[in-house]
Amino acid sequence: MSAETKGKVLEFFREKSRGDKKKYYVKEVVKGLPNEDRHAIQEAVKELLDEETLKYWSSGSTTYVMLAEFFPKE
Amino acid sequence: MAESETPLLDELEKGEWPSFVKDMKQAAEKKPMAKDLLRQLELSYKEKIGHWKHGGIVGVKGYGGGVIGRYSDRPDLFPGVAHFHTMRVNHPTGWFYTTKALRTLCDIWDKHGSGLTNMHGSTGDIILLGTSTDHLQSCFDDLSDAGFDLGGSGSALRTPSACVGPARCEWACIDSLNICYDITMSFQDQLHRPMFPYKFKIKVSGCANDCVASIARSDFSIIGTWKGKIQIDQKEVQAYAASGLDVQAEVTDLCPTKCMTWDEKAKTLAIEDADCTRCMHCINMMPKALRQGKEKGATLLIGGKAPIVQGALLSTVIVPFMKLEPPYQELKDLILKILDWWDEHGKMRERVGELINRVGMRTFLKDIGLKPAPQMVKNPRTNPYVFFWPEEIKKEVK
Amino acid sequence: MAKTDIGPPNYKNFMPPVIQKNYGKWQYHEILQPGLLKHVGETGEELYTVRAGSPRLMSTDHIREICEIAEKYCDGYLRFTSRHNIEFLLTDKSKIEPLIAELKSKKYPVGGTGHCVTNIVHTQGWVHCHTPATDASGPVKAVMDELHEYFSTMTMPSQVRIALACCLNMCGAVHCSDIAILGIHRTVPKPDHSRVPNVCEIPTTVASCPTGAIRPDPKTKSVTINEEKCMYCGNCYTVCPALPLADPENDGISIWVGGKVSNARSAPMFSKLAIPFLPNNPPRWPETVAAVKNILETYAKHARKHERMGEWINRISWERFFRLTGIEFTDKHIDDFTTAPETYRTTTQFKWG
Ligand code: HEM
Ligand code: HEM
Ligand code: HEM
Ligand code: HEM
Ligand code: SF4
Ligand code: SF4
Ligand code: SF4
Ligand code: SF4
Repeated sequence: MSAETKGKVLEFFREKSRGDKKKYYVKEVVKGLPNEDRHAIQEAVKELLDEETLKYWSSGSTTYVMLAEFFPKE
Repeated sequence: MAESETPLLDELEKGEWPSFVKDMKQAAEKKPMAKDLLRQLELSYKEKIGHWKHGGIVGVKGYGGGVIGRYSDRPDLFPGVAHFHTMRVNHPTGWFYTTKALRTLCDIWDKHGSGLTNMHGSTGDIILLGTSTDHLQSCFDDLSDAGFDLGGSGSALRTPSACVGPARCEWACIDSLNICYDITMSFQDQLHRPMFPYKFKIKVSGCANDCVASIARSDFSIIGTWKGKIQIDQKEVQAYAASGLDVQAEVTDLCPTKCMTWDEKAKTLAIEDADCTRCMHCINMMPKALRQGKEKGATLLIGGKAPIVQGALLSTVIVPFMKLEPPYQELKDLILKILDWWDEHGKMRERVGELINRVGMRTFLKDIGLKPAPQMVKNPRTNPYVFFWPEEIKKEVK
Repeated sequence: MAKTDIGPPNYKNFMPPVIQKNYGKWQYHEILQPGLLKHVGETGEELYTVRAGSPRLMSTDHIREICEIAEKYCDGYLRFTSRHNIEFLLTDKSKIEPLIAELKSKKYPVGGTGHCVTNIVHTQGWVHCHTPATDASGPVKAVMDELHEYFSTMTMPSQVRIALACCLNMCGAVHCSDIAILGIHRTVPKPDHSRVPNVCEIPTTVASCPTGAIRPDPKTKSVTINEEKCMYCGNCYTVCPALPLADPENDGISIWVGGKVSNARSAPMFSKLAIPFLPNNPPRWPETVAAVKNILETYAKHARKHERMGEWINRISWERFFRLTGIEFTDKHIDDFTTAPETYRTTTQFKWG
């Protein structure tokens, strides 16, 4: 079940990151996958972050999540 | 003598108050990056403008916060601070230290960073000010080996903080330090892996003096209070009076509820405890003579925040009295329920206080399962726009 | 790999034995002299605390110096306060005098207790933040240089808490201070249209604005900013470095007064606007220093004993506050945010000043 949710989360990021916008709030992921449980999505995001498929991007006060490949280079 | 590179900042080495410029120069002697920081700051003083850019980096493996990414906008002039990230480190509750622990921190920071710190940041964390990207993980590893951990940033819980409480204050109605530590340890995931709509702060004060400003600075405020009679030691009251305290003018007249009377002739103090709102004034004035009532607990309040976005709020009462004893399960369950409710209903960047204002306190109370009480408001509503729950209205109207 | 989620070190291991023994059993305390507290436990045991000021921005060498002092007099125990002061914790009465003497000889201000002006809570400013409208450490140093004698005495009517935040994000939570020094920007971010398309995600930038002031501009592939909606928070600059906000002449400082956090006597209060704008004038911000000093000394002269700044003003009225301080009242002082009507006068009762 977790693997399935993870796949959907990853799919969401792949699909959505085709345009200009690469950074997403976890909340936007939840909204984009209305049939999935909110907590399950959060756990899936955490796993993807641990695997470094996704990366955090933080403004200091607000945190976004994005595909690691799009993380800005220094 | 060579001319100083920092004539404007040198001005701030003068004067009686401890000078941060002196500290920056101390660090600059050892660390080229601290030297460039000093030179960049001088440029800011000259131009009256900052020279930092933000970057989204969060730093260490497994965590989503605790590092503030910072880059100079003039790396050509100041290569030492081309990247110069802050690390937020959990402070020991109550800001207690042994010098051994402090020296360890200093050694780690001299090894990995600029040698400059804030003791402490406004959130309460130890702020290690400035290191390069390649040192973030190794610095964290060393901190972790020494028993320290990172604090929160971004859409996460911040390191909770507490007043000095029972460690050194006779007025602590609750064990502010232990409550704070327990919450911090229980909520590590919420602290380190941002998933919330925005930040969330918890602060614990042992009494209404609120020395950590929890009512103004936290989304969830825990403030100690009591029930029952203030315990009066008339002999000690008389001793205060004899030593020059004007009990009438400085104590009873300033009682906000006027529930105290001082009999000047008999030299006795009386308190109508039912009218006392436990503001602490009289106890502050005569700590030897007055002690709080025996039944201790806390008032819980919610929603304090800064002006961004919809104006500042002070926290408001949601639980007038809760006994707080280890393992604080009732408290932690309530916080978890509120966090989850906010996570579900809050818009991005909406602090919990703003969410409550948007959907209404009655919705909050109902969803969380708290019972309305007159202690929650200054007065009942004055506007007639009263809404009832659907189940309170008869559906079939003939 | 390093262990994660270990949390802070347990505070219990950092408390001196006298505190461990008397934890939760303190009976009473006295302020023996400015900067010196005595706490007495139920067993009669005594703990002495010597409080000293710090610049908050400290080098590791400075921290080591503090450690040395604490090792010499306090068996290696110390703590920091919520307002960036250092507290040396000791039980041996005979060491108090030498400790204070050594602190003074090393230029540490000793005080910050009781009816004093204690250390200024403040933020990062030009030292380390990207959205400041002023510096933090500099104005704090300049103000405290002027007020240091009020730190090491207890001659104020009541506690005075001063705080500084260098932009309206107010990381420093200045909004409930007796005197708040707040950096303000007065101009909207200036999009660098040549860089925005390359370095910024337009949708994220648009969404970052809490007031919805940013619109995409398809023509320039950049953004435009609605001047009427922008409140200069710098959020957009955080996600898009091609939207600089700072402006040397238009950035500056505002002064707010009369807030309090404690519940003693009166309820906690927000600070209210006293001075809408003072220029940034490094390195010593003379206008800001003079303004703070004027407000503080007017309060000290007129307030009754135990009256916090806000309690004093509420008693004498804002009309009189402006007269006594000589501060000009302008249209900026009248609120026009959503909460404004609550601040309008709805009675014919007022003072002439
Ligand atoms: C939207 C707005 C905000 C942004 C973009 C923002 C951004 C930041 C950044 C980048 C820092 C790090 C400064 C540095 O070390 O370089 C910071 C620090 C901090 N922020 Fe914010 N912040 C915002 C709002 C707030 C608010 C509303 C609060 C509090 C209620 C707050 C509390 C803090 C605190 C306590 C610090 C540590 C400051 C210090 O100790 O010097 N911030 N903020
Ligand atoms: C429980 C809620 C309320 C009820 C039942 C109520 C009822 C009334 C009634 C019956 C009148 C007389 C209307 C007339 O004879 O023309 C009136 C007038 C008035 N009410 Fe209310 N009212 C309520 C709440 C309020 C509130 C909250 C306010 C203001 C904050 C308010 C302000 C006024 C004013 C100013 C008038 C005089 C209007 C005029 O003469 O033009 N009322 N109200
Ligand atoms: C035994 C009595 C008290 C003790 C031990 C105590 C302890 C403390 C300590 C250690 C601090 C941090 C101080 C600093 O960093 O300089 C503090 C701050 C504060 N105290 Fe107290 N305090 C006491 C009484 C009071 C009283 C009577 C009031 C109010 C009338 C009060 C209001 C505050 C406030 C407003 C702060 C500032 C909190 C902040 O803004 O960070 N305290 N107190
Ligand atoms: C006078 C000017 C004010 C300044 C400078 C200022 C500044 C700040 C700052 C920065 C914070 C940190 C806020 C947060 O964490 O959310 C802050 C905190 C807050 N301020 Fe203000 N504020 C000012 C006025 C107000 C006013 C007028 C309000 C309300 C009017 C207010 C409310 C808050 C709140 C709520 C916090 C929470 C602080 C914290 O969590 O650390 N402030 N204030
Ligand atoms: S909040 Fe109350 S209990 Fe805590 S340190 Fe301050 S006076 Fe003491
Ligand atoms: S605690 Fe406050 S309200 Fe209660 S008796 Fe003392 S001064 Fe009055
Ligand atoms: S108050 Fe503003 S400028 Fe100052 S540190 Fe916080 S976000 Fe940065
Ligand atoms: S400074 Fe703040 S309010 Fe102004 S445009 Fe940028 S994000 Fe919006």
